[in-house]
Amino acid sequence: MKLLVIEDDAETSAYVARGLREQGHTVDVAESGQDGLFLATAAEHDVLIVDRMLPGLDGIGLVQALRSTGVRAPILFLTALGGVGDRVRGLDAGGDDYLVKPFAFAELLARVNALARRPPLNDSPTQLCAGDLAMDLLKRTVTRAGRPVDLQPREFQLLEHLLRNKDRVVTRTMLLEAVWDFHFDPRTNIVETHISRLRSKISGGDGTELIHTLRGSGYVLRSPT
Amino acid sequence: MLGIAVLIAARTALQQQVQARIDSELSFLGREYSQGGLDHLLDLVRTRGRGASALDYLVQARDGRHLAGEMPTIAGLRPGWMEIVVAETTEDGGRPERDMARVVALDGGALLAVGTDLGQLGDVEEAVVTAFAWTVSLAALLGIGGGVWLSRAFLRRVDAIARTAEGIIAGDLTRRVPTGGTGDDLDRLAATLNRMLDRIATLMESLHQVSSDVAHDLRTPLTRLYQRLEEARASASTITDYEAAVDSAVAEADGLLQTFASLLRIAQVEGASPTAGFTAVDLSALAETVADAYQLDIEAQGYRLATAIDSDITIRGDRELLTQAFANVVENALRHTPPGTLIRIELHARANGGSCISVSDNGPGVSADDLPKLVLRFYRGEHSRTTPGSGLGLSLAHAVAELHGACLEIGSLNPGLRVQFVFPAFSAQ
Repeated sequence: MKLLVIEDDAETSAYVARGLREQGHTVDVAESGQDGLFLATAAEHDVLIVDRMLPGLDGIGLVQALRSTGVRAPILFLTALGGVGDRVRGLDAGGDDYLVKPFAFAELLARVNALARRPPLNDSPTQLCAGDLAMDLLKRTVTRAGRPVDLQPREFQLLEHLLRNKDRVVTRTMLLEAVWDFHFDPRTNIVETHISRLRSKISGGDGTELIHTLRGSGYVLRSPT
Repeated sequence: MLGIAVLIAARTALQQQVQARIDSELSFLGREYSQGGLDHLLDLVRTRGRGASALDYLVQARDGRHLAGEMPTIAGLRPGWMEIVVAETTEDGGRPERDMARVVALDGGALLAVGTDLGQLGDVEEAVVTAFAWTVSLAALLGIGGGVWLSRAFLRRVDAIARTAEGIIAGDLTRRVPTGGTGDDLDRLAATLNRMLDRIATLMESLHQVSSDVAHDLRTPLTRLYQRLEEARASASTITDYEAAVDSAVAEADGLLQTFASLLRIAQVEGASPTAGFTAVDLSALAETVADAYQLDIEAQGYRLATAIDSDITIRGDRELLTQAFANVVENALRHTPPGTLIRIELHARANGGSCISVSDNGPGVSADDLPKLVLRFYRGEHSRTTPGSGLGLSLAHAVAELHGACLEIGSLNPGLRVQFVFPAFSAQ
């Protein structure tokens, strides 16, 4: 993927760019809002990673300018401002996701991947599946190898989120936001316990695991090969 | 302006009065003349001229001869209103008298004039002007005196406010603006200023508190982090050693960041303006979500959960903050009680229109001495020194409750502890 990082702190942008390049992405780096605006309009990028506080043109102004010039690439805000109001302002300005500093690189990577392959809004499938696991979004039913699986509403949401992000890493924080709408980090194992319950409910007789834990980064749902 | 208007009005009224008198005298004399002839008129004029009447008379023949009356003959006397100078020098050498007179022509060709001394009018005018001048000077004197007195009283009080402000600028935040106790505008201003100062003092206090908390309580985990890294550099020899050291350092840093995030959140909440960004929050759904989120966790750790949540309870507030505050309280119950404890999550409407959301447990509880300290930042009871947690959970809950005008009540249940948010009645606009 081709990514653009707009961040004035040299150390942060070097850390982010290095990590993303190691993952095989092409990364452009801009150190100010003006440079970022120029680079973003000069070439197409798959995802833009924008710092909220930039010299010259700040993050919000930059994103508004980008959106008004027709740049449609998904935008991930990086910020030290983690308040509810700040997040809402960022998303209102045209951002797609929000990551509060300091962050783990795995979290950034997972969010960038999720943004890059986010399906267009009009593409809303009624069926999601992975291997012999099938989810019917209209009837709200789940079957594993044809056998119905009885899920609580929250477990259904959790599985739906994992299926929509099939083969992509989904972090604990992303799940907390998407499934519970918790925008803080509870010091308990809410996600872990729900995942483990979900795993046992959808486990097939043959013991093939669909939901995999990636230590230190999150979870991924993969079709069995 | 007012003086001139009064003068003009008085003069006009007087003139009209005098003219009316002259008119009625003329019409009386006219009637007498038409009934008794010229001689009768001349007699009448002579008698009336000597009388106490303030009017002056003149009967003048067509050829200008003086027939009767004290006014001198005047050449070119014509019917109508005119001013006649009575060149009469009084015995005390007074000024010549000027008369305002009306002249009418009689049937026989003679002219009859009746007039009155303009000086009379002037006297009245003078009296009005004098009276007015006195009144105005007195009013001006009173006004200026009163004004000086009032403004000095006002300035004294403004000075008092300024002195208080100077004192505060100099660093004494305990100073308050004195009030006169009269409940006037300045008092109301002083009361408002004092409330503002109270608020500023609270904010300063909390800022001060945060910085000293940070200084004291973050030093410990930072020291631990530093020691572990140092130890790893000194004695780790295998990859596994290094990995273990890095893992523990990461965990320590993670905890530090969490603490920082919580502190910032509390500071943000305490500094936030109430109701900014408030929306209608479905408290019932919020309680359900939190209960549902923690249920598995609670049961997985060997605790029991009971819920009693009334439906359709809505308040105005910040949903995210309320969720976090309530989740903190649930986590608190989970963290500070032994497995097997029953945790109850309840939401009830209150008779007064308010609502109450609570988390209670039947665990060991908290000693009465420690109860009020629970909401202090970084406060951790003696028994919980060894359990994880930053000691900020209830501080945040307390700050969020305050922001919502709610009360965070912590009470003992014997056994156990109940933490509840009591929300005031909420009007639906």
